[in-house]
Amino acid sequence: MVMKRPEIPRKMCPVIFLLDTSGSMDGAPLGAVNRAIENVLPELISMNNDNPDNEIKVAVMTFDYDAKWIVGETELLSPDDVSKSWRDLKATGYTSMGAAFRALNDKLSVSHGFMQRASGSVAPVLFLLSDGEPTDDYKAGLQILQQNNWYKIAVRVAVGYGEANYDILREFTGNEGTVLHTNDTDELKNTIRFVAVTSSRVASQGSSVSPDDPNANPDDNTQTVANALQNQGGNLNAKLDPEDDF
Amino acid sequence: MKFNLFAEFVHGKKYRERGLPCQDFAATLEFGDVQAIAVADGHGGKDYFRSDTGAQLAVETAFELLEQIYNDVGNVEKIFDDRGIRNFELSIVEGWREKVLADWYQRLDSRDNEVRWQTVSDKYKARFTSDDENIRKHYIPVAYGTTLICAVSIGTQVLIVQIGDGSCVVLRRDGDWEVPVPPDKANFANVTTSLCDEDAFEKFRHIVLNCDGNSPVAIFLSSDGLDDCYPLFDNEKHLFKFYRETVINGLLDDGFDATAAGLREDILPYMTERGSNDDISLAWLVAEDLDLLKATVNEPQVQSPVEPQTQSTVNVPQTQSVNVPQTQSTVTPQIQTVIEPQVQSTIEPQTQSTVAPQTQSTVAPQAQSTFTPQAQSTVASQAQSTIEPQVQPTQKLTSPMVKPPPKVSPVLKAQNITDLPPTVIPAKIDRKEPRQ
Repeated sequence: MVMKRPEIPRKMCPVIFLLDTSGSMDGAPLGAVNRAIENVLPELISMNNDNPDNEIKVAVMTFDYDAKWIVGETELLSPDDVSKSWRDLKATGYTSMGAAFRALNDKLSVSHGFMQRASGSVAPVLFLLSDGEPTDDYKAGLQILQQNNWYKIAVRVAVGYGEANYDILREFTGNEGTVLHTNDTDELKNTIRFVAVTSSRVASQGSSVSPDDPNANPDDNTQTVANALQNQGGNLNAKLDPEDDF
Repeated sequence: MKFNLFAEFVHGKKYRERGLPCQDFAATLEFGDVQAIAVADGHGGKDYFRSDTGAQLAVETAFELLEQIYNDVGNVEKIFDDRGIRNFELSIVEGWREKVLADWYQRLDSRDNEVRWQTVSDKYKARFTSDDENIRKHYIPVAYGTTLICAVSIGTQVLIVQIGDGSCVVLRRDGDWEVPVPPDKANFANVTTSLCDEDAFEKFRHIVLNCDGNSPVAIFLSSDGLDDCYPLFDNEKHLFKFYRETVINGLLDDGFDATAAGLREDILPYMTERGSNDDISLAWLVAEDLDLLKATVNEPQVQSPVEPQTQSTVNVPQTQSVNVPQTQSTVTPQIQTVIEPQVQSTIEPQTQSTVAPQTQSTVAPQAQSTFTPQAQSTVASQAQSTIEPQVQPTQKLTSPMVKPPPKVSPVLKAQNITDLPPTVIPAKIDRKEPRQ
């Protein structure tokens, strides 16, 4: 007799955006961010449709005067639900990056945060966007975050625009290969999409092979994304092929 | 109680696709009235480049020690006592390190051709090949880093020892499911405590289950490749469901052989493919009497409150504040404590800047502090109740490592291990190749 296979729950892959909406982002830069998110969401929906094992769920935090969850205050949402309710972000205030790190740390928890449905085998994606120096004590917030085990195993990526502090973004990702920077608003839109989609695909595929580095540590998720970004570098406008293996 | 034994390990998708070896190992051991199972999960990180060998050596070490213990104690009533268990754990750590070093020096010439050696970081390559022997011996175990869970049934008791992640799930005669070994909060996702940790001895946890009263009817050991098929929150409940609905129903419907074959050929490969993508190990001790298993599932035997305690000793890492469970049905709430991801150390187990000979790590006084008054008094009272109706003398399983109490110097401990009788019979390990 053939044994009945156990039901294996579809594993959750959290994709969490931390977006700088300080006053300096006003105008074209924030417009690029809004358009980029609008473009990313359909691609995340498509990934979910193609992957029966893992399901991307989204949260979006903005930080200016303080940190605020725009999506995910109570629970992570499907990219489809986010797409239906998305409203353009507004820019105002300072760059409270330390507050953003602390707020993220609070949510990276099994008992009282986003991670109840998470398993130990799928890493979350942490995406940071900023255009300037933090105006609060980012270091203290980052130090707290760096003690969080979900942060440790996460795919950590960052996009810098204009006067963004590269060293701080690199400190957040822990890997210079997952920090991209641009001074051009058109390129900003494409860069956000490129980084968000690539990292989400790597994280949600879980065991994908990097063709250029088959011996890479399978558990170093951020390095896997760094390899994937490097493999596709310089071609931000290209349509990302969903069949690509990273 | 007589158990049926099973052990299997399958190659994880994420390693198979990269051409990397399966780093899990699982085996069974049976001789005399000893029945044992063990699973070990070698670490996947690039610096642990011989963790597949490390996992196998961990299981072999534990099994060889069991034979030594058994042969040395002889034909007497055997019960586990806390000091004996701690000696067993210490001997696993030291015996495993000896085997690791022997393997390292035996394979010096072929090392550079190994696939995983190419991925080792420069930092660890320098440590592994240092001109300083102390540095080499300190770091070489990292290359073989692994977890270990071992369950041993002897006479009327089952001992479970564990270091690192993975799970031990137990079904009791009263129908309750539990995870009896105290949790170690240092384990999270791909981070785990390890036999290669400098203070590995301190990180062992254990428990003894008595096979009277509310006996364990089924004991399952798994590596985290199985656990990670399910969400972290209430992970145990998913495991209970898997064992109940897939494994036990399979056993009751189709028997041991067909269920074992089904797991090997289909279920476990399916779980790595669709679930964790990691190597998966599974082992069981299940009551050979399937009628008893059936009755446990269909007609659980409710235990009277005056039943004797069935858990005698518990060991937890010293950094934790887990209460010692005093009654058989109160373990679960403490075990279900949600893993909070903010209390643990980094993935690198041995990044200390000061290099010391390994024997310094098994600092004797630490063993003393693990012998909690509760555990000792529980053991004592249980030993008495076991002894009274017995005609045969009772001997605690402390003999082969007759190590003096923990105040012995580290050097003496190391010598004790090497001084073990050379006439040891090799463990009859049921070795298998991993399923793809």
